Amino acid sequence: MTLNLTQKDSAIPMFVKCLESLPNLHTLEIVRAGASATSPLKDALKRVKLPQINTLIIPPTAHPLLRPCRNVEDVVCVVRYGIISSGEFLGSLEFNRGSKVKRLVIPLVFWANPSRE
Amino acid sequence: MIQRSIESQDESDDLLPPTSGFVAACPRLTELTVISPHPHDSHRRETGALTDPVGSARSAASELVNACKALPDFDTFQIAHFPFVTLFPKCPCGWFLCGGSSIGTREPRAEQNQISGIKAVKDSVIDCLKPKAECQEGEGRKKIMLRIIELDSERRSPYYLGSVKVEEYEV
Repeated sequence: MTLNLTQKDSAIPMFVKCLESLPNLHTLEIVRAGASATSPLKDALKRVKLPQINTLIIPPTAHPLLRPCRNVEDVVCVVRYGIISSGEFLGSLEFNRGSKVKRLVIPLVFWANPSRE
Repeated sequence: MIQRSIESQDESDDLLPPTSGFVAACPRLTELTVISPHPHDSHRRETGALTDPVGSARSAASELVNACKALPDFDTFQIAHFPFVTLFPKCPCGWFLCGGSSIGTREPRAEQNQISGIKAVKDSVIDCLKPKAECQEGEGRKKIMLRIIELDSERRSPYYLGSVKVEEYEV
């Protein structure tokens, strides 16, 4: 599944509901998510569980998606441009104690450039 | 350990490379791929958009390698973008290692980075990976395999072209 989160205010809650209604969804790819999408995404995902997802391909700004996906085994942090917070991404990665992540792709150097996403 | 503030919006936090905290958060990790700064990003480096890529990569790589060694099921360490493979330890016994997207002879910009083609890259990587004398194959040692893969240079992820494997051979 590929989704472009451009209209975050209206699209994100609807997007989360959509995810919950897809029990066979196993791979989720977020093509692009600006820094302003992070907080709405985090809010919309509170009390949400997405155990069916085992592969996440996300930009760093979509890190809240790591939290409800307690069974995720593959995590690809896709980097293009923009500010990346290593701490926030790590916080979401640590959210599920006893993480089941087996394969992780991360950028070796984080960028300090103003977001162009 | 990484000096982090999980919920912090502190801008300085954005400048940190990933370190052992990422590995510690994934105790079942078997495979880690790090995307090094790409040589084509030099224009960003020149404008200051990329902060000390070599220095950051070197320190982060060392810490990541040591953290991964402690994981019981860990067996694969991949590096995307060849030029920075030399930042990693020269004795990765039992580790798989991948070169990155700068290897392709079909990549015209490779020449600008003084990479003359895939053979030269392979030779360089093999030299980098040669085991030290005290680390020859023995009990508990695994074979060192070198896999050179082509990455999707736009998406910077081997998973998009995961099956496109150019070379695989023992070192």
